Amino acid sequence: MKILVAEDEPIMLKTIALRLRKDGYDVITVDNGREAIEQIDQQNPDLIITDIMMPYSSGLEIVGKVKAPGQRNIPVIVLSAMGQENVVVEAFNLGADDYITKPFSPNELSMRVKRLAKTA
Amino acid sequence: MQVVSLFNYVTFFLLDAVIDPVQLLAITLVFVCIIAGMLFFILLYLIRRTGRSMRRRSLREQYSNCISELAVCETNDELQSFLQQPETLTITALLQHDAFARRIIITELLKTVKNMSGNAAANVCWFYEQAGLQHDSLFRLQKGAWHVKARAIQELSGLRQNKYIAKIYRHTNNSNELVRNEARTAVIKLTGFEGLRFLDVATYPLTEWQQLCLLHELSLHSNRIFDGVQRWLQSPNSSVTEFALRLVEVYHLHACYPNVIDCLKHASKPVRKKAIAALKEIYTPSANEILVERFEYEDADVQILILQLLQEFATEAEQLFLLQQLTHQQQEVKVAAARTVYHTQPAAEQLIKQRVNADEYPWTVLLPQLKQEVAL
Repeated sequence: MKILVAEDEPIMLKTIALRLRKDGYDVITVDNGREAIEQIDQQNPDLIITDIMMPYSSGLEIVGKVKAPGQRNIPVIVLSAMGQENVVVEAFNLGADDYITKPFSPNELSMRVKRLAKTA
Repeated sequence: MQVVSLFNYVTFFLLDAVIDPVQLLAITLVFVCIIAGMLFFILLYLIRRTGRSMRRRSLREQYSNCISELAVCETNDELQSFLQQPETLTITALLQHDAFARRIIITELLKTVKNMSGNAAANVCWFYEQAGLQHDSLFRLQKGAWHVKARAIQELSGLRQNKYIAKIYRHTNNSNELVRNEARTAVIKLTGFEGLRFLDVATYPLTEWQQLCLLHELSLHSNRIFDGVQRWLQSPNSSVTEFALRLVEVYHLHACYPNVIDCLKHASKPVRKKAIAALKEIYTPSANEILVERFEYEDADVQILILQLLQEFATEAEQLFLLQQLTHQQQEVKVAAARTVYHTQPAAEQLIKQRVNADEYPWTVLLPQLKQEVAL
């Protein structure tokens, strides 16, 4: 299973990637929104994990693009330090499948990925 | 044209009469040397700065690999084998004698802890201790300037160094606002509600922002202890009293009701306003009489707050008082009183019309508006 991780903080990106590789997933990493959109088109991942605040394109824009009508419905987990109700609601309205607020445990993320992987 | 020739004449006259051409050359040479020296120092500074930023980038890259490996360790054995890895050994050896490298790794560890929880955060804090980095933070806490101290407090609290709580606690009443704010936030972060004991000795004020930060930190702790609240409500430091009233308001501390009532007579207006806000959350019917009694001694803004509170709790006993306020001198108070009557009396419109001339401004506008407001 191929997972795309988009996160602009290098340590977070590497930690998430390392954790998911330990679980046996094939992980593609990008550190900005524009590259994430390019990689989605080129690599066709089975699941996307994206931060909201990223350079060039935000995580919400990525969710909007992936969940637009006519697109392949790839499950998306949104990561964010913004736990405000309006942001969470907006992410779910756009079609996000899960929302994790920072700080979070990589083990918790791993469990959520496993749960979504079953439905993907 | 004439102006230019005059300027040239004056310049040449001065050069001939005042400055010797040899002197002029010497002065020019001195200035050229100064400019060359400055350019040389700027160049040196830029080279050094670029070198430092390149080194910072390379250290960050190296540490990010190391920290991400550390964060995903799940057992003690994994942690021990992480420590024995050649890359980790190189990093820890470098940290022993390189203060710049220590500063970079502490920043990276702190950033990681802010983003991660659970095992990953615990591993990062464990490594901070294993590498002896807490001594670096402690040194800066003792010797640094105010901003260095504030940063050191952030590091120690962010990386969960509970054993140094006493050293941080000493700064909760520091004369520097930023240092004491950091220290106050840190003690709450490390010990939760117990950390509030600094309020017993706080002589410097708690700013509005500081109070909100403390409430936010407290909201992350579940071991709620409110032993000192009644004491803080009587504190000589009015900002401590204000904060205690916020605690009463947020955590609905009904046991503090008598002290909150006392705060309605406090000399500080912000305290009295906070007391009214707190009363809303721990309301008992006997409060109405006290509020009505206090009303005439208050300024218009506090009077409005009292009327807003009565909007929710006024009974038949307060109706006469409310109707009397319809003829108050201050327009805002008049409006607040009318609003309260509308919210507490089914026959409000008739009662108000008996007291005021409904055909006169502002009642011509206000009455339909209030009617609509209550209907919603």
